[in-house]
Amino acid sequence: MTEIAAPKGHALDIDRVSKSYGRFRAVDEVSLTVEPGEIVAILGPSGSGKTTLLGMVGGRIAADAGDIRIAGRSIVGLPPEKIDAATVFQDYALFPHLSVLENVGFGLRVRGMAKAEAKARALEMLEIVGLAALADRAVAQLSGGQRQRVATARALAVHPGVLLLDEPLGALDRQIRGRLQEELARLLRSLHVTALLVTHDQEEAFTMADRIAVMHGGKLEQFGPPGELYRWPATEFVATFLGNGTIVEGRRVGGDDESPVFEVAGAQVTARSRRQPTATARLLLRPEQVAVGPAGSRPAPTWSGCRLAAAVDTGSTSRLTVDVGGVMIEAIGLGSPGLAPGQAVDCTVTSGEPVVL
Amino acid sequence: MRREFHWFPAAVTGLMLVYSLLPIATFTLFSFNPSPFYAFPLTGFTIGWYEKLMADGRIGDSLLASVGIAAAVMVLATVIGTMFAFFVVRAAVPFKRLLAGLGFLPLVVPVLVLAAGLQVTFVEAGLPLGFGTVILGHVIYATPFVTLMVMAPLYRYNPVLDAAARDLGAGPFTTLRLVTLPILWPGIRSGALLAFLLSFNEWAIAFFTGRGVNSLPMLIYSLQRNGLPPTVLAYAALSTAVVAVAALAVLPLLTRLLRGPK
Amino acid sequence: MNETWRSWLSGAPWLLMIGCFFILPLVGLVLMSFSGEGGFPSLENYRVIFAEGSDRPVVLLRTIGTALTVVLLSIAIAVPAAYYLAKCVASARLQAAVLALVAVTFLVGPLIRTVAWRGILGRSGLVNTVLQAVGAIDEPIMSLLYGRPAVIVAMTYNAFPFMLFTVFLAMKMIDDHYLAAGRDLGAGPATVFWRIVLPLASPGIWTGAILVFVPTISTVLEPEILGGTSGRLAATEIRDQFFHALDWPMGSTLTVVLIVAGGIAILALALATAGLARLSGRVGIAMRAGAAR
Repeated sequence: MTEIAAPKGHALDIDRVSKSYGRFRAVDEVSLTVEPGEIVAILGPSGSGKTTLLGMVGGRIAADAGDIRIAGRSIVGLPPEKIDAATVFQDYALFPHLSVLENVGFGLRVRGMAKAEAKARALEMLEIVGLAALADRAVAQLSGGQRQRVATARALAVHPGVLLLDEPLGALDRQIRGRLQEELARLLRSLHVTALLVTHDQEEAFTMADRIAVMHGGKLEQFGPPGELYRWPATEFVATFLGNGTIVEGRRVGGDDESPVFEVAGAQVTARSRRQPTATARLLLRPEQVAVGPAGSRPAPTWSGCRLAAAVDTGSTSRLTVDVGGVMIEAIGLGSPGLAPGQAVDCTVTSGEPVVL
Repeated sequence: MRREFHWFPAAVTGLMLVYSLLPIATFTLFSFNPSPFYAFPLTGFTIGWYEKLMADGRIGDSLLASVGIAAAVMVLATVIGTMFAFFVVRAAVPFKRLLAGLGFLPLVVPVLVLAAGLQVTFVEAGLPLGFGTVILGHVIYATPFVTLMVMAPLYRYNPVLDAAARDLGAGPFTTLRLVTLPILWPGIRSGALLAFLLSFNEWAIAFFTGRGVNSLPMLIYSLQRNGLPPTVLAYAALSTAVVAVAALAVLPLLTRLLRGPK
Repeated sequence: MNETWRSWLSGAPWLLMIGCFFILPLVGLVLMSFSGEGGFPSLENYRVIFAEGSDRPVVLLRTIGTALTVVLLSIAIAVPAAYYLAKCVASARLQAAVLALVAVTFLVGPLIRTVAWRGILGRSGLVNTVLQAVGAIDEPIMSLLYGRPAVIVAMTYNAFPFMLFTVFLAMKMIDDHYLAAGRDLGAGPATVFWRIVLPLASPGIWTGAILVFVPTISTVLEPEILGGTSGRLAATEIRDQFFHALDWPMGSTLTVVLIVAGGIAILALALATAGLARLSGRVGIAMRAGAAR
């Protein structure tokens, strides 16, 4: 009873979908697929079109072009009640005039299920999310985290083909968010639920999703597993949105296609690349790839005689900015800086290589 | 937000309350006065006028007429008024604002004009003046009030709730039935109550368009014209009590509306 | 059934109703006012009203004047009270209680409310008895009842709740932060009222004024029950035409004239207040504040 049968083929197929409001293209020819049992996150800043896309899958917003198929069946043009998807809304939208149990059983009652059976199924669902004890409570008495779980239970109770989540944990405090992210992901995986979640929080996407689709200005920038996106960003936007780093200009001076060598700010740096070789390129240098130490502390530094521009102690780590011949490079160090701004330092590119963008 | 205490507005508010309650207190006081005149001196205490009121056969008939009319008006005005409230708040059709304004026109046209106009129209159309025309007139009079009462909570209604219901499989009308209306019910109930009271106490339209109908206000009107028997005062006191009880039912909703965020 | 159909469906019943039973009757009235001999349209009725020796224009002016007095009195009572309730009282319970109290006294109907004054203003009524008991007067004041003052007192009594509710609503919607900002910048409580609250609430006061003015120019009850032999008012005239003289065309004409006269009065008032406001610069505050919202 707790397993939801997986259909054949893509669970969700978004096929070149577009939506415009006047001259503003909110969603521009976006295509992506979600496999059964997979959790896909759509990650992007506000205004990127991710919420609009979710609305189209849920039937609340009409697509201008393209097709959306759930389990092979096209759902474009269908009203929300006929679409095999259920949504967990950002503000949860729990019905204030119904108890927790009645909320969870709502979808079942609407489909004609008998009251007693709906109650039983709803109770089962509440047990799965661990809130069976609150079944008869009023919605107003619940905490934010409890409401989130009731909203999730309510959506899951109707066994949707796709579960849609709109910034599921955005309204909660930072402290509990991390823990709940893991719990929610665990719950969805244990039920083999196919889920599409929308978020602007990179950490949330990384924690919960099997694959991430990064959206920007209505367009899909890159779609793939989190590690892939982090280590091999397809565009500069993906590179900077998913993590910190500096983008530097480099002039090709040697090496082969997969490991070209560039001259960056006077020093030679080996990079990695999946692209066609070019004479010059922009490279992404992640802070964790740069080690900073006092001048002369390391043998063979990449850049020597640089000036430390800023050092910010953020508790467990320090954010360092180094002036390398006019280029400001970001680095990260463990613990407190131990270095003062203005000091002469050496920088070395250590773990990993910068990637060609 | 720190509230100021300004003595002048406070004093005016107090005077206003006295102004409001003085007539009510006066006729209530005199309804227990044995003297057959609505005037001093107070010669004792009696509930005789109330007894006389209850015993008067005409009162019973008129009461029935008024209650019947008011009940019909309540049902019609509430249904039509609630529907129009949805139109005003939610509809996205051309000329919506113009039509919405038009819908509130009856509020700014004098009742006398409305009554006279209705009388003319009904007679021209050959409709017999009577209960039906009074009910119709009262519905025109009361519906905008119902709409206003329902609009307040409807404006503050979170539309995502309806979206959630649709998302879970409920069609538009099912959503209305299971989610929207139940949540709006306190406002609708208050509107219904208001419609009932407005109709029950309304005199002008009944007078103009109701031939053969003798509603309670009409009866009271003729009674007070021919000497003012204190039974009229007893009636007035009872009316006030009924309205006060009805107001108690609406008070929680009013408090919540006033307290809530805009 | 798609979205647009459902939108029209919700508005249709009421719109159809007022189309048939409100707009049409009004048009019918206006048409009837133009009826003359043999069914041809004519201005005969209007001519009779404004003819030499006709007292109708006087009646009209008296009606409008009375209504304006009532509006002013309503403002004097309701605006400070609305301000107090909306801005000075913190408890929502208290606000609701006072408003409900006024609403209750209002909902018993104008008939009861008007009749009630007979016992207060009469020869042996409350006012006279109290004043005599206190020794302020020796003889009861005869002219309290059955005269113009009584009519005005009762009309105000019956109409001021409209003003109270609309102005209360308007003031409630003024963001408290505006007032706090005013005090913060050094304005005293009175200044805050006159230069911030009043201009921002003025649309509400206007609505209230119209909701008071319109029923007052057409009300029959107060002049009849409390007016005695004092000057006739337009509404009584109209009622007589419809019921006693059975001259419906004349009744319709008087109604149209009343409405038009009322409309002109409102327009004149609007222009006057707009002119005054521009002079004092308060419109600037209201408009800027409105734009900021």
